[in-house]
Amino acid sequence: MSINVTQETKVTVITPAGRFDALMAKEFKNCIGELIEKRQIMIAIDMTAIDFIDSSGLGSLVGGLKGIAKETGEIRIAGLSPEVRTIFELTRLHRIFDIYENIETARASFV
Amino acid sequence: MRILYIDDKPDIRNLLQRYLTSWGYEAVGASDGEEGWQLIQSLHPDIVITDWMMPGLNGLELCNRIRTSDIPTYIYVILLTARNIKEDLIVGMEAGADDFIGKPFEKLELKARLKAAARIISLERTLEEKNSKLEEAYNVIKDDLEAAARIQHSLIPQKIEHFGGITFDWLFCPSLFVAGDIFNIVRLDEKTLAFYLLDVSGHGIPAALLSTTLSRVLTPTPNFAGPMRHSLAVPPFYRITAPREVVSELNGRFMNDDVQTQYFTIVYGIIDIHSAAGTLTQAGHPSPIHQSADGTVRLIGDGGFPVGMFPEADYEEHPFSINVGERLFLYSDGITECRGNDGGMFGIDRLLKIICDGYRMSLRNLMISIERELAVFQGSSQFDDDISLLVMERKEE
Repeated sequence: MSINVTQETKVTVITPAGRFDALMAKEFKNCIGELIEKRQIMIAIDMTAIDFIDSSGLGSLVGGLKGIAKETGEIRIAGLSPEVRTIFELTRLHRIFDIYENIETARASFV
Repeated sequence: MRILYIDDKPDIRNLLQRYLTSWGYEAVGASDGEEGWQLIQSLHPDIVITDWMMPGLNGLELCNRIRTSDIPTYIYVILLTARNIKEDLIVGMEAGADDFIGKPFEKLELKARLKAAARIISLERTLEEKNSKLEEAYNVIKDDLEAAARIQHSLIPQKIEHFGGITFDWLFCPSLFVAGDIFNIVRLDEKTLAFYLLDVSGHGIPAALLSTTLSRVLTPTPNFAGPMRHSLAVPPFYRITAPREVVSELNGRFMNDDVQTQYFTIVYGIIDIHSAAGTLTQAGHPSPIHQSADGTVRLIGDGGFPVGMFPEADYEEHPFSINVGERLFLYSDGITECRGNDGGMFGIDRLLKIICDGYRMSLRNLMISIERELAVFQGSSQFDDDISLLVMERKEE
């Protein structure tokens, strides 16, 4: 389990890998908190390396979305695996998040 | 710090007694291994200094005996040896000696080595004390959790329920004493039953606190006021709330904020026990399974917002019926997301297959079969997530 963060000119790309469970949810929450402090609030999340997300994981993504929106930033999501997409659809989160096919299109969408 | 020294030579004993007391240790002596062993058991010394070569029980055997005994505290053993050969040291260490001092020993060396021993022993004692406190705390927590689990179990149905031709059964296996899953069947009036199965995000105590609260909120009070049945000023003085209204009301009441990111998923439905027609709302929860009298299955609904996440969420309703021979299953994702030994998930297809294959089984046998299949799939009957399933069927009357 890990969360990698790369700051590009305008967009910050977050790349979590492994199971998006309670443990990663905590790390993700801290990560968003730090980015808000650094005012890096244009965020693209590359979910390609996530094949499972549980209720805590979804909760932390929504928490992140709300926190960033309050700072007038944006979170966009890319690269959902079929398993994760199913869960997004079941919980209707695909209507809440801006979802992109891959990280390149998500990144480009900010320009 | 209490030190026991064992040597068969009186002059060595005298010397040790003098040195040890002058350095502030509480010193006790024994003249052979057996006497030493008796004193070890009664005094529980912190450090034992023992001669290796002694008639009767020798130092090595004594060391062995200490290590295999059930004396609760750690005893630091120093072997006195005339020979300083590598092989001897290995044999001594294997017997469980902590240190060696060559004979004849030098006063300053003995003093320094005892100081090191005392340091290790005091660390050891701190650790033992912390461990025992931890164990105590663990026992308190475990007792509390068990008590909480009993309370939670009292909130779900206690026996197989029958309401006007409809029979319910269920499977409930909390992952850690208490669960974030909970379900119930509630009679709202002479012809209407409400049922729900919900799953609070996360696990353990925080999830259980919310699931227990929700169970209370979804239990009618004696005058039936509550989200499931609103009171009216005119006869019949109540109105049964539609499932989407119930879920919307819960969504408003349990809306999370920045600090509190807990939410839950639920399937809530009502059914008319005479007409067998019902409606249900699915809020972020896995789709209920409807089974026809010929055994074929279909999923009801394709999703919905979880509860407590978005204030503006709106919910849909799905009609269903439970005619004679039909079954309806509500279940939590603890079943479909149950992880197997190979890392794969149990999945909806496996669950559907068991349900299809078991459509002639009694509900009880079907529950047992699902639980067994899950345990086999996972390779253990201790589940990582709460497992819950509620099923209802209408039998030939």
